[in-house]
Amino acid sequence: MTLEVKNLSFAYHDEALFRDFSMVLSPGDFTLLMGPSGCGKSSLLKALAGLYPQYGGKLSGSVQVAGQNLSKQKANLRAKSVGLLFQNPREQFAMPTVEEEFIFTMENLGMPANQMAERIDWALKRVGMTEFRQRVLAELSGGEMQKVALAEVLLTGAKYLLLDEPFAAVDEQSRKDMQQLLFDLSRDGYAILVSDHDASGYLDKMNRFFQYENERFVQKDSADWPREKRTQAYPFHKAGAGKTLFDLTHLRIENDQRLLLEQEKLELKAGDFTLITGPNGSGKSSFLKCLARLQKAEGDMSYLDQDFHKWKKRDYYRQVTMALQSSLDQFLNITVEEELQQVLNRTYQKSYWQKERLAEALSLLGLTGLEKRSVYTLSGGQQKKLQLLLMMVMASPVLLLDEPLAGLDQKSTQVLLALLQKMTKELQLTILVVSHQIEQLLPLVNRHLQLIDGQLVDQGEVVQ
Amino acid sequence: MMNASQRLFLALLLSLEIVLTNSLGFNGLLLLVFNALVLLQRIDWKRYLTYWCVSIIPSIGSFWSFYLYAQGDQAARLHTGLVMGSRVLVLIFVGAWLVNGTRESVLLQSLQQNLHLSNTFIYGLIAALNFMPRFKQAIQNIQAASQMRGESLHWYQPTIYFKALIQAIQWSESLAMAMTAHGFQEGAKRTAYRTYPFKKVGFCWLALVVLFSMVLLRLLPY
Repeated sequence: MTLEVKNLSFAYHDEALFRDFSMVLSPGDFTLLMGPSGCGKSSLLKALAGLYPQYGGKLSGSVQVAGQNLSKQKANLRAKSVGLLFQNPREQFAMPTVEEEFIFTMENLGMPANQMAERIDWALKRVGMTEFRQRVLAELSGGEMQKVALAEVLLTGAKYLLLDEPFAAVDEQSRKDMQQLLFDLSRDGYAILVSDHDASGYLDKMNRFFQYENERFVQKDSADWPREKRTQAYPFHKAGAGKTLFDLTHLRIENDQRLLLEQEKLELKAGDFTLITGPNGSGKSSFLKCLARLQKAEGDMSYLDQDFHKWKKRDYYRQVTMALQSSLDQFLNITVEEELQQVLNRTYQKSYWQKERLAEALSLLGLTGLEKRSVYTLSGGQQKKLQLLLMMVMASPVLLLDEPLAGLDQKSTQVLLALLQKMTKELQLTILVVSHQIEQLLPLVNRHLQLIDGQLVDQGEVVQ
Repeated sequence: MMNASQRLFLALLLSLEIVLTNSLGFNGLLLLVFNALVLLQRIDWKRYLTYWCVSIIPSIGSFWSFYLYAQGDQAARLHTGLVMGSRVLVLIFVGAWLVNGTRESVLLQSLQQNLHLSNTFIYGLIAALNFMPRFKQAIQNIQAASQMRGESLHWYQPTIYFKALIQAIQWSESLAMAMTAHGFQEGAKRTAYRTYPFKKVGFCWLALVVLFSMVLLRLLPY
């Protein structure tokens, strides 16, 4: 039994994304798919799972499992052969708890009720999440959610597992664990097709590799596969001696009744470019949100020698802004043009951000020509780039970046970081960034805080 | 005693009786009974107080407008006003009793099984309810995000709700895809892990309560 894709082409909003894709996915396969953001990886996987053309788009060609055309099958039949993990872990669950979500899926497939309890145990055990059965989904971290999502797909009995950038917001350790898990599954006769921006961790596991080139996904010989990066320690120059911006003492951050961070003292100085790393779900994002006053925290916190709570929010957000993890949360208007005009009017660096400079940045980021488009119809990668550009144009003295590079391809990452580096230098901005894509950021960083056991600790180097 | 659907029926029947009759005594009695029932559910006292806070203003408002502007002499107006005012209180406490006794997802699933409502409707609602906490957070994030862009959005400005609505539409589409990917098919036959069958004794209770209430309505003087 195989999953056979023949001459698949896909267009969305009259825009061709990929053409003529053919492949055969067999049990035991571990296939990696790479390509720049917006090239249609998500669409391809959704098409393979039978979600397109049901949810829009124009599709030609065919996807067959064991000779049966998938797009003609009902969803409850399709799910038994093909399973899909979504890019955004938060948007793939309909029910409140792990158990209820699993039951929902099994009920959809018409499984006998008396087998369900046992099957849940089996699936959770398979991904090493046995103790999560009664947990509330909204309280799980991104990595935990993806493992739960994988277990849910296993429940259905699907042998073809499609994963759409499953590790975009997952820490190194969880990523490695899950890659190993996927590899073990492929050994057990599952067929794995995963799309990712980062090839690390796959090379010793995959047996096929597709790269997006000229509107096509092209299969590459093993000689042309990307190389594995070596583990390396990166030293960087020491923190500057700017004035103290944030002065935090006895800081305590809790999330869902779980203590994330307990910090006796931490100072953050002006002009620093600080990288914050740590395991997934350890509280890095929560820390940034606490600085952006989007999350409550206990302790004495001051910014520019004035207590957090004495700052009016309006004034505070003139000083400190944050690029949120979800780009959509950042947009205020509808079209790209309106968004750009809004930040041009409101920027704190009017002399720096002239129209010409903005146009240049747009073209470097590959966003030219999208001015009339609604921000909501852009691809995930385009949205991310636009969002970061908007916040860069605002250019508040302190900019917090939460996973700014998640979901971006190599080239976009390079362009963005070059823009950011130039700007922070010329405008003397202070940047704090939480990211899993460490290597590209290193040339910019001059301070590294690692979150270890609820403490942010200064590290002289970054080990990757 | 009663399953979730039957509790809903009871609440609806009693509400109907309250709305169609004008007995202050009956309303007062129900208010006492349902207050007791709500207290027996051992809810947080803050929550209990909230029910009173929420109900007191519309209740007084109702009373006042009927007392001042209804037809008849002063005694009749006082009676109408009190009936109308107490009606609001009773309705809120009947609702509170219903909501505290059952989780929304259980009520919806039992309605689906008992009345054969559409699964798409039921699971759409359950999924939407699960998104509510995110919605609240989303509104706060929208406000903060606008301030970070140098603009202040207040609760009375439509832009906030427009943004929230767009977000909801986005969520609903992703969610619909996820549900489809997890095998949800409109109109298809599903199995049920937990069943919520009607209970015979529940119908007996329903009949008993309705009968008793009718007798009460006859006997109560005011």
